[in-house]
Amino acid sequence: MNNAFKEIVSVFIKYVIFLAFLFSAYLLMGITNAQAQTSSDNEIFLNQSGDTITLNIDQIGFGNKIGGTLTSGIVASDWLLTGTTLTIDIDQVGNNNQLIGSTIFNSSSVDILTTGDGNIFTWDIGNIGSSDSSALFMDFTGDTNVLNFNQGSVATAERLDFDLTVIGGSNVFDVDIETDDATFNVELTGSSNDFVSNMKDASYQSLTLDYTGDSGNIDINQWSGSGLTSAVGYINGTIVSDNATIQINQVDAVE
Amino acid sequence: MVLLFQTTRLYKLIKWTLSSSIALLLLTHGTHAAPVGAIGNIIELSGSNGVKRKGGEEIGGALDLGILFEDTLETAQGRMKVSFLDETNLSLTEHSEVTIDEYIFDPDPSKSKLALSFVQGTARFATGRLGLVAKENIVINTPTATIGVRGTDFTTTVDELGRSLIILLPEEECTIDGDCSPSGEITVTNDGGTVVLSEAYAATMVSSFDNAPMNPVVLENITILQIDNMFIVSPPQQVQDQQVEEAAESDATESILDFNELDVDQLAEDWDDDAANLEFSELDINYLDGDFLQNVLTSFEFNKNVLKESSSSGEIDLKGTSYGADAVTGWNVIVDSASGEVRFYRFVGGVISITTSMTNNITLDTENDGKKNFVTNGDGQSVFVTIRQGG
Repeated sequence: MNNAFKEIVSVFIKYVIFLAFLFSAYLLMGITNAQAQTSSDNEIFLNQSGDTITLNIDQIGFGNKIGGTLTSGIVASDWLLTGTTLTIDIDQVGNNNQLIGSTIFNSSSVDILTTGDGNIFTWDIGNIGSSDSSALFMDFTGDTNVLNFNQGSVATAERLDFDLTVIGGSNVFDVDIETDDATFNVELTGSSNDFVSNMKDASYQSLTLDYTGDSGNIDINQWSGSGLTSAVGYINGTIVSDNATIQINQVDAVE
Repeated sequence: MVLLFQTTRLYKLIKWTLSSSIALLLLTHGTHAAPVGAIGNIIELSGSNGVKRKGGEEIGGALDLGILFEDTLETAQGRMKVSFLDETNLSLTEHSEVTIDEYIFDPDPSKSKLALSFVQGTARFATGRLGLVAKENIVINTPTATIGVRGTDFTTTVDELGRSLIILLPEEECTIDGDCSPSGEITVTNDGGTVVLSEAYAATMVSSFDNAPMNPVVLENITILQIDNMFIVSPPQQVQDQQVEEAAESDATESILDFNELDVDQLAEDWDDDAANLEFSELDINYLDGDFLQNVLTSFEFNKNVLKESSSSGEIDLKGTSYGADAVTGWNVIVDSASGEVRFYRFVGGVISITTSMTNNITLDTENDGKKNFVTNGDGQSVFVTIRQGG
């Protein structure tokens, strides 16, 4: 009887120890997960000025942000990046990333790759100063992304080569280029995309659009601006679609 | 008595000599007064251009650069507009050259004078509205003709062979209801004769100094804005048609004995009588004419007969414009059966090119400065392209 009781107590203790082990393991996994969740939001705050910068950023994960400051989990102010002859290469891979910045540069090369859904990209180039002689390559792969791109709205800007590739659906892209001598090449593949391009104040403007998708809403505008004796505007579109609405305004005047 | 007579004659001779010398001196001084200072200045410019002085000095174009008597104005990949003291304006398009042969500006318009030589390219000449230079004292020379100005505003194009195309412009832009007053009259004269341009957008072509200027034709579907922005590589179709017609009339009056086989340009002959075999392709588009915002004139460059034959191919269900080039709508429609694509190309008010599947039901709704056209392929209900141009 005594031995039997001891045997029962021993099994019970082993069982309790086993449960404690399982509970500890569970807690340990929970803590690890919590740490992983916390560290998934990479946040880069940039305030940089100077010439000939080479900036390479790879952000891989969920909810990454590049900007100036953060409030309540979202970028609250622009990054600041100023200089000439900049080389910028940014890859953001994941969903719900944000890249919001104000950039002033000349003679720079920019390569942006964004892969994922629900990303927000707001970039204002040359909001002051100038933004001349630059080459931009941007690739977006994913759905429901939002791009607001603005170059030269305040500053003088000349010579822009901009290649934008979008693969995905339900994206909203708004591109304003106020640059003399601007060449803008767009490849837009996907359904229900909303794309607006405004090219202003230039003696030479060229937009080439390769559009493949349905239910798209595309708005293309070219304003030569004022004070020009001659201006050239080219719009070259290739459309593969069963259902698209395309609006083209090509006006020899100010917006 | 004899001595007195001789003294009197000597006095008159001296007096006449002195008077003549003073008059000659004044005349000479007056003639060369203009070169002393600038007779005008550059008020607009873009791209590459410059001024060549009489001595050969070459100066890059710059805003407000003073223009001197006997300067030669040159443009390469650029444009230039010069305003003279009498508010006459001279605008040069790309690859143009004009020499200022003479410029005298006097408070008395009858004593003022302006003479220019258009060497090559396209230039627009608008006399000052104040009439500070009497129009009969304005002489414009081209390699093949002399233009007498009784109007205010016209363009001249001189090609590399010296052939000249002259277009009289209206006083103000023509209205839709047809109110279109010319800016006056101009005469075009050479050894072959004289023609008078008296209607807005009246045009004549002069091939050589011996052959009379072509009878004027009035260009249609064109605006001052289009003229301002065009670069005429070859003359408008209406001018070409008139040339062919006049050449045919001339040939009909000749005897068969007048035929000289050497006069026939065999290379220029179109030996393919089967027009239906010819298809409109991208090669038929004269892209040189599309360099600038507006160039309706050159939409007429295509052989309409060939295009109409080709349009019967039935490969696409096109409405609202013709297959190939349509001078009315301005659209060039090119079907590429190999790729299964149709391309709509238009260079009026900017260059727009839309490429889509031959089977795509597309609508092109276009409006340019109030002129509308509506083009569909198929039922037009899949893709809607709305194009608004002008300004």
